[in-house]
Amino acid sequence: MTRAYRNSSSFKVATLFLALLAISVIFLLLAFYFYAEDNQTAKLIIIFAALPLIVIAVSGYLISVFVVTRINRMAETANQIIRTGDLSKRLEIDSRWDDLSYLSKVLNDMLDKIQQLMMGVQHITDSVAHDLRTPLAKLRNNLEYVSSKNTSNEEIKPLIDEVDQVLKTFNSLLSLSSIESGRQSFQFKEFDLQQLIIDAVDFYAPLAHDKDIEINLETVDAIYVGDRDLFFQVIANLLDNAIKFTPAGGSIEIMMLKESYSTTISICDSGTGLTGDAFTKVFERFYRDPNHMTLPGSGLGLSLVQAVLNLHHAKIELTNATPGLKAKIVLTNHHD
Amino acid sequence: MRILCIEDEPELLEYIANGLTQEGYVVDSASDGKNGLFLASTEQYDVMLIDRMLPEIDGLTIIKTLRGAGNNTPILIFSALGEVDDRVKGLRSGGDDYLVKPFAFSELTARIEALNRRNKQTAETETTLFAKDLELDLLKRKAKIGSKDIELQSTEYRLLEYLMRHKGQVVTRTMLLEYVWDYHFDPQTNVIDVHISRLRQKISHEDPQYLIKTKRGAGYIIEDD
Repeated sequence: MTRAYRNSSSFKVATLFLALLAISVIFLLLAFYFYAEDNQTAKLIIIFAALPLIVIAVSGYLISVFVVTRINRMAETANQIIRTGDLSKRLEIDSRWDDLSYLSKVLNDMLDKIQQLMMGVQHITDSVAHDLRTPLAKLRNNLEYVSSKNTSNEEIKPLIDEVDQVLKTFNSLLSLSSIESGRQSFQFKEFDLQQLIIDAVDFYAPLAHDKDIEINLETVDAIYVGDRDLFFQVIANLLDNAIKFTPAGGSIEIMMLKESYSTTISICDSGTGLTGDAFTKVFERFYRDPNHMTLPGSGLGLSLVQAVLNLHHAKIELTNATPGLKAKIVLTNHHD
Repeated sequence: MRILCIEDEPELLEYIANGLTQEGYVVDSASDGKNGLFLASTEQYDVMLIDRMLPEIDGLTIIKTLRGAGNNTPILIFSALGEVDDRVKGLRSGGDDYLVKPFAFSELTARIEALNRRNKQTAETETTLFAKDLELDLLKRKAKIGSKDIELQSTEYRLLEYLMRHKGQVVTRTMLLEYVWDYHFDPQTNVIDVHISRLRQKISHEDPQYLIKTKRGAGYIIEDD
């Protein structure tokens, strides 16, 4: 449904300006008329003719300031949505009479609709994953049963491994959604961040050792409030990636830095790093680096990292170090 | 071994009951909380499997009631999607272990065996564990093969201790993560396998499966001599 121009505030302003212009023209004509006889009166009338022009100029200026500020604010919000992918943001509406508020309202309605559709898509993915999990688990168990009855049949075992891999992807997808939606309540508790990082490195050490990768670890005393298991998952996923992308014989640097308001953890590998749009794309669900398609992985690892960090109001930045990729987690310290 | 299973999904209940019966367990089942609690408090079981969400009486309430009445039968709780909060609540209310649906059958049997063993073992206070020619001193935290000492790092020691304590039972990778590393998470790569192979190298024999055997699709086992 299109809004008639007559109903818009622009039309009202334009009409007002036209009226003011007409008044000033009338005054000017009058001034011409009086010019010959009475100079004094003519001058006074010219001043009257100038007044509406000044009003037009001043209000025109103010309106343009108002409009440009509004448009800039709208652009800023739109940019934020593009940058963060957060579809829950909306344009500000602080008045209801002007055309831009009307536009904002319509754009907000559009965002509502997009968000609703996106949630629909997500919901379908989730329910597909959810509904397929049980039959898959059954399939897996039946395979297991067949293979236990039939020990000579080695061909079944790789099948079990494959089903396990699919189940694992589904599980990651579902836990990702449940973290993103904040549907479940998490156990936020104080835990020893330093110990957690040492434990994670200890867990992955044999994997690094097998590839002849050296891990250099520098930690500081730090206590953090959050979900310990999810946080371990974050560090585990990052370490897993670092080991995966570091060539044999390379090294990984892990550093912790505690400042008064924040604690940063950086994990720096000596792989090939990232190029171009991969910096943002790696956080997308199922994104896999086209150059490393042969390496195992579900493409959900970093999505999960970001979801968990968002839940903790923490940030992750990826930059290319030379050589390799540096993942820096910035945590805000809790002060009681 | 007698097992009680309280589960409201009829298909799953039948599946568990059939599967466990085939494995040689004696299974009683209940499909709602009321019947479940009745059976649990009148009969004697070795392990109970209780779903978190049940009609009539909620799973956690059943557990609290049983524990309140002094019933110490090991309880394994089932729950839908891995809700972290649920896990903690379940264990706090008196459950002994926790399993997320859907689960692999081998995971279920491994945990039932572990719970049953834990229950029987509480009275014993062993200080040395044996398996074939390996000897594990729990007080000194030292391993020996024959008369030869073996250098183990603390993770390797804990891994070996857990496997030895569950001698004769299948131990799944998830159980190792939860009890050896004490983190509940999902490793992207099979890092546990790498830990096991390093441990195997240390207690080396020609055959890597000599002491710690791999049960494909399930986990690991140190078999009874």
